[in-house]
Amino acid sequence: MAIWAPVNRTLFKKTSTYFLVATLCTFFFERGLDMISLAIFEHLNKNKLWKDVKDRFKKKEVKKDEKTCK
Amino acid sequence: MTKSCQWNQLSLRRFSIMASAVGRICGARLLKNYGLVAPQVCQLSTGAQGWTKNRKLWLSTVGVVGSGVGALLFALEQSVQASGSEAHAPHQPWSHDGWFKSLDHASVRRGYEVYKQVCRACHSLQYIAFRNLVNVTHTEEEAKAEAAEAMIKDGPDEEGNYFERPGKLSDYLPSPYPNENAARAANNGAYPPDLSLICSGRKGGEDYIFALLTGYMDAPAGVVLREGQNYNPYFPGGAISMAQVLFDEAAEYSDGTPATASQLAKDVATFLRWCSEPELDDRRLMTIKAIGMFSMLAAVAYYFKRHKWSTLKSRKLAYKPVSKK
Repeated sequence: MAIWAPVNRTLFKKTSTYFLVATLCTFFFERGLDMISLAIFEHLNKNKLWKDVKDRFKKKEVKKDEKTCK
Repeated sequence: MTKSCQWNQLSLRRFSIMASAVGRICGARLLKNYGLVAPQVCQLSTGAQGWTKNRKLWLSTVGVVGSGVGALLFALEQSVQASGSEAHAPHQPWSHDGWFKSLDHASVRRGYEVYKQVCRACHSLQYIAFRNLVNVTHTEEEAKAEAAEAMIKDGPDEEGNYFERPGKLSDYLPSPYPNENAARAANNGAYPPDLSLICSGRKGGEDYIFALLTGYMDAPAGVVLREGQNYNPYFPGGAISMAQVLFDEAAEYSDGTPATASQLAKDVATFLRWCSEPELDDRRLMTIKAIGMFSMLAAVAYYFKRHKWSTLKSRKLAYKPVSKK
């Protein structure tokens, strides 16, 4: 509780600082939630999303080009 | 009496009529003063303040009718659906089945290749543009090359003539026939439907498409097919004008996957699911986000409830019975 009391006094008692804290927390919370959700989604769907898959199709085309060049 | 005064009286009367109407509907319950103790006694005592007979009757009727309708709807949904003659498509283990499962984009890409090499001969895909393929089945360069291969009818130019030009990313996939009549004329009177929304538009979705594409067979005895028709048990009526098109090696994959008939059917079904529902991946991601968000809100609501009820829960009511003497 040693941390809580000064934080409460300096930040939460005044409407202006309280509003500022709420806005900043919202921003970071939203970014955090987005990043965590995306990380979970990409972990669950590994090797299925386009960013994981695109090399499979690319490499073939490069190889074909090399063959035609040779 | 001045005019404004009359108006005031009128509006007052109107208000009193409205108030009496509300009073009639809600009964006196709305405005009744319960006093300080009564509501708490109501909530906390287990005293026998039961419902009136009429209310009991009314509520039990609502309950019986409501659960009956619910049970009927459930039963209709669960029925064996044996009235039609068509076979029902068995459920396949799609990799995008599930709350959090995205589409398999390798499969979607291969499905596009199947569409391009096989289906496009007859079926249009008019609501998909080349730009939709970017970062879904193709990189931007690949999609541009894909668009440039197609010739798009454009115009009129400065002299009023229509002309053909190589496609751009903003163009939609060109249709094989200029209009429905041309499509019917070329296909024995049958219209090959547009495939953009076919997966959502057919009962069974991708299961139906997979079953249809792999389910062609010889017509059983007694089934008469007209010329140009084929037999497919999954097609309502059985007689389908589309011939079997997916055989082993009917299309070529750019990633080297063996192109068996069932692989082709599976990939094109996945591709058509993407065409019907391009936002599927976003919805899966949104599910994860919503669970995170709402679990936090639930925790807050739970804490808030405990906080607000703590005084009520820890309160004791003492009754002092008045002695009869």
